[in-house]
Amino acid sequence: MINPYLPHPVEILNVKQETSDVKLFRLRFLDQKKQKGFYFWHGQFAEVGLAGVGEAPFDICSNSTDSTKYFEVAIRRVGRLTEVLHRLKSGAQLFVRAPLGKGWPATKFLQAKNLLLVGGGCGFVPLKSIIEEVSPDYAKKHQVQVFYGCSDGSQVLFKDRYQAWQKSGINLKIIFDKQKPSKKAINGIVCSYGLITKLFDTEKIVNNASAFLCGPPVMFKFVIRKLKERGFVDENIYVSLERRMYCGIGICQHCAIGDKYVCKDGPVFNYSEIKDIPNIFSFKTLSRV
Amino acid sequence: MKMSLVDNLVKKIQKEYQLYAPIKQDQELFITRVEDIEEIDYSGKMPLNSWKHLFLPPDEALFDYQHDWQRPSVNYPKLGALNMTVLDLKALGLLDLVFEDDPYYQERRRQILVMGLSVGVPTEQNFQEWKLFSLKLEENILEHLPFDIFLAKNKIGDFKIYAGSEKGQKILEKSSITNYENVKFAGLISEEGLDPKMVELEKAVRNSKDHKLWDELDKICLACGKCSVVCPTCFCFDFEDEPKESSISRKRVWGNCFYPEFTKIAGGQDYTVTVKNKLQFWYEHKFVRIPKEYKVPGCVSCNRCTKVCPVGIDIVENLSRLSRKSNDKSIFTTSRRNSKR
Repeated sequence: MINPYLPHPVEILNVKQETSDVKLFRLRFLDQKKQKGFYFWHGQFAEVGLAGVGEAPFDICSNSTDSTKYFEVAIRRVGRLTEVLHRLKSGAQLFVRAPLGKGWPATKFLQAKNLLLVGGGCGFVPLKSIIEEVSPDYAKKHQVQVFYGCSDGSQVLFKDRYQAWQKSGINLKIIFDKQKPSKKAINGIVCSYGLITKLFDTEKIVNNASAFLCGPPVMFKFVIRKLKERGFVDENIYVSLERRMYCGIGICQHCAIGDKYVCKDGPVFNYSEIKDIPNIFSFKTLSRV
Repeated sequence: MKMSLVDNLVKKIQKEYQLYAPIKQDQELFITRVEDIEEIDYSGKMPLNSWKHLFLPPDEALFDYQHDWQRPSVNYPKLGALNMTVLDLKALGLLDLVFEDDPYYQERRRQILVMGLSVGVPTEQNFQEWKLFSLKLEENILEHLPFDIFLAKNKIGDFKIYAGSEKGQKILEKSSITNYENVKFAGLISEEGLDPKMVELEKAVRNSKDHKLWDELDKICLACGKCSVVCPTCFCFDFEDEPKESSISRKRVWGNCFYPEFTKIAGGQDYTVTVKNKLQFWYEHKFVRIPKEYKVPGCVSCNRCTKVCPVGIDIVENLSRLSRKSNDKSIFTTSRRNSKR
């Protein structure tokens, strides 16, 4: 019987400081055979952890066509585990259970072939793997428009990939909602100021497109409203949800939403499957009493 | 078969297994480790605590970490779970399904001998008294329950004995009991298909998000989580890493969706902060998620949650209200009217 809870050792090949609190970790299984047989689907996640500190779910954000060589996770420093992970340097060992969950749909089965990818804050991370995968060929045949919203210029992720993406025809736009951009463009990508929904008014939105969204709950509500105004049907909208997955196999209940589990049925859902589940995009921040 | 022969059987079982059974303490039945088999209760009534402690311990080491993750070598104890009610066997059947691919559960489970007990089909009267709602009283109910041995006690106190596994047969034969009947386990779902009450409740809970019941409960429920602790089908869990002298133990520990932070994500945001959210989450697990995935009810109507609730929240009344809205001819309407609280 396979032990679903067994963490597998991985070596950190590289750590890249993306922003003041986000690091990109390139990982490889110590067991070469495991790495050679490792396949993930864009949008799937990994439980990453350390003995004594625990595990937490992170979206795999590298190109899945490199999966047999390495995979990457972008980790924001927000709590105890991520604090410890951020102290690790290349060569260090950590532990992974992956791949888990259901990722973004296969582009070849999409009804609407053009893509509109909308990411807010760290919600841009799970979109990276799909951008990487569509950027060489798919983006030449179909339009790929990407909206990325973040607070200010210091928070921009994956800057060194922008030129390559642009070259292959990805149309990326960045917008800051906390601070006006100090320069007009970052590595050739135009930055503007406002909420991410503003881009729906200032940019020409791709026609006949499927929309992939990930971001804070409030972003979903307003972006979906914009998409509906632009004639997107629910079936062509996909969302990647953030919850606290523990077991990763749909048993422990921590990530349950309505009749579904984010770890097993998601994290990516077709919007039509989940739109009737109450409170899906509403949360409260716990106040310490 | 007479009580004295059952005693002999239990003595035989005791030679191989550590026994657990309902034992009366302060007017209430508790599942307790048996020291003296004379204390075992054969009334067939529901003990206040559930059997899940035996099958899914409150805390269980999954791995010990020194240089790598090793499963701790455990000799799972041979336990005898005696006099489990039909409802508790249903709950066990669900756990068997949920943890079907879980090596820890399965290895522990194999060492446990399960003996069921029924004191006969509830009469119309005590059916009401127990407020049962998910118990289908089909004739072939035993085929759909997991057990090794089953005792059916009749009105004059004699027992009819069934064997549900080879393990059961062996121990019966060791006790020189030959007049038992074999029952082959045919899965939890009966031949007629899905339990219609389960289907009705699933619909009722799914469509209940705007029902005023939730706002009323929000005001009185303390979110103490006692209902979840005693529930035989509440199996959610957390992981905990515990440092030991020379290693780290990664443990699976019981979770409780009423406790703070059960659904908290990075950055401190939580999706079930209000008591109303928590209650809906709990009901959805039992009446929506479990039926959807396993095709069996997530609540066996043992009524333990109602018994332990410090503010008197009654699950049967709640379900009755939720389902009356979706269907006027509720299955509960009569039972509710006739039952006294």
